[in-house]
Amino acid sequence: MPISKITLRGFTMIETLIVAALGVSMLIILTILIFNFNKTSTYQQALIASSGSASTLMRSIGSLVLPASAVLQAHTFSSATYTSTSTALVLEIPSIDNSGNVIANTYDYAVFYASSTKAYRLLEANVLSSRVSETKLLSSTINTLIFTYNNTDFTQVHTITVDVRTQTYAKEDVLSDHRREQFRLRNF
Amino acid sequence: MKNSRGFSLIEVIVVIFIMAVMLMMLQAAIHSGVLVRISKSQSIALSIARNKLESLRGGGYASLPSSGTFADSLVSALPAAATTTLTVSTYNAKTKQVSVSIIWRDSGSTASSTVSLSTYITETGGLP
Repeated sequence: MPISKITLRGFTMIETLIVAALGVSMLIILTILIFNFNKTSTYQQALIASSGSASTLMRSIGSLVLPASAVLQAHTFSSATYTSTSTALVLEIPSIDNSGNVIANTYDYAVFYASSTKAYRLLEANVLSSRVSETKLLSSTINTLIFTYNNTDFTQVHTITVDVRTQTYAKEDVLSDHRREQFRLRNF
Repeated sequence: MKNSRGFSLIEVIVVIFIMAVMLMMLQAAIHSGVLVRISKSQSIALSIARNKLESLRGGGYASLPSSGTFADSLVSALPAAATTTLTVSTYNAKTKQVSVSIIWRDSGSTASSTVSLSTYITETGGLP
């Protein structure tokens, strides 16, 4: 019975060894690949988070500093009083109606401040204004947020330099980002 | 006879397909890394350009510098050999056109990237 002899024989030692070795090396390669994919995507997400939030914060500050008419030394919001310092910025912005026209003698007030790693914007709009009163979380990866003014007297301030450093961690890597921009008050 | 048969077409196709998928995934991962780096550099470059234009607008018409390169503390955050260019040209008797461009090349990218912004600055009016 030559046929059954062929079909019934098992694997030789060499064949088994080769299959086992191939299987093990494939598993190792796959593990490395998956590990690397995972590491790369974590790294990239952290990079996007740090870089993206630095830009978002900069845009958001710019969008209110440009129309602002003055930097206030202090302003009492409904929740608390905020003071302009190197880490907080209180702005007085002429209110605008739905078509974007300035409403005379009415103002919206905004403060940008950082608290540990989070940066917030608190906006208190006049009832006539089309801006919406809210506290908004702008970034949660803040390392430092520094405002520099062109004058120590806040009534004279028309230029603000904003310096943002963000920091995120991707496993053992520290990803940091830095933005520095100068804004001039257009309605000063 | 049975031992000397080769691979069937189906087997070869399946193997090629699996290998192609794995290679594509690898390539996509590498490529997305380059895209993320470029987008980060782009955002830094935009910051530099906006900052430069803002300070030129603030300085006013009379103190516009001549064309050339300019310095910014963020340039070091871009890949090495990033260049900044400022072009000031006369648009008409009382207006100058100011263009700022930043050119850099990220590692892994085949071409240079550019961010450029342009504005007009007039003799009268301007920022406080």
